[in-house]
Amino acid sequence: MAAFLLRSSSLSDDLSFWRDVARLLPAASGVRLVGYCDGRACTDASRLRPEVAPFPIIVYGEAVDSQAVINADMLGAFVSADNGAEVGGEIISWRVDGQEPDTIATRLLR
Amino acid sequence: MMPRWIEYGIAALLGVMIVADGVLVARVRYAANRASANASLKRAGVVDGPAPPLVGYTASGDRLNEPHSRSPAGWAVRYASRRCGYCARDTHWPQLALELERAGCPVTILVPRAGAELPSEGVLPAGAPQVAFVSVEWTKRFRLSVTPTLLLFSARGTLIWYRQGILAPDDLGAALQALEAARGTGERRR
Repeated sequence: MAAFLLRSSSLSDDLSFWRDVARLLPAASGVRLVGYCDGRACTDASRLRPEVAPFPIIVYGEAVDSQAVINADMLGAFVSADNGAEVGGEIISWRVDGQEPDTIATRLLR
Repeated sequence: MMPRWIEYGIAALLGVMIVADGVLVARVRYAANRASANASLKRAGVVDGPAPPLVGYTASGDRLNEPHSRSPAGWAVRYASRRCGYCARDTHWPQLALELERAGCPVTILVPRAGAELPSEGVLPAGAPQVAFVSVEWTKRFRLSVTPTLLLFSARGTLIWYRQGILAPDDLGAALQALEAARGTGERRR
């Protein structure tokens, strides 16, 4: 599972990035993507256009999980954990130059 | 007269000491700044100003109504868990909970995870809602890493006082004073 923050300030780019990651992940891979909305713009987009993302978008989360995702995002990263496990596994950078959807997808498939 | 090589040696030694001193001062300042940042509950880089209302859901799916965090007397959030031994040993909390209730300041219990809700007999003030799912927008404002943590907000949603860890004897007065001061500075309900 990959849990990442969708920033309202860069929502379109964030969604585009993770849509591409989702497209590159084989359906049989079992890797789940979960986006966390950080504000109203993101929340509105997900409510008004649920088809906007091929992954669930969390608006209300458990405090511990949300904190882990937000803390990771402050480092430009997302949290990777085994499916079904609590959020809080490996931190992987994605908001940095050189990180493309295919590199993230490859990393998640390891 | 002192030989030249001794003079050079002393000068070099002084130079090294000055540099070492500078490095130590810089490290102490860095550590102090870091400790100060860590002590703050507000997350760095997040826009300052009133927090959005605390909206969320209980583990059973009941929605916490927004007006709860729109009380004209201010509002409070207690981050606590049934698995937190310090929460149970927070001996000054019952008194402060009572005072907050008297002051018309509603308290919401925020639990770290669903299933960590306090047993109903341990909820103070009695009947305070226990939120298990909270908006990420609200969570983003604060670094909640310790249970118990108490956050006090003015009617406008400004964080006016907080305590990470168990309450100290002075905290009761300090918290109530902060509420009073927030009312006195003309903070009004939106």
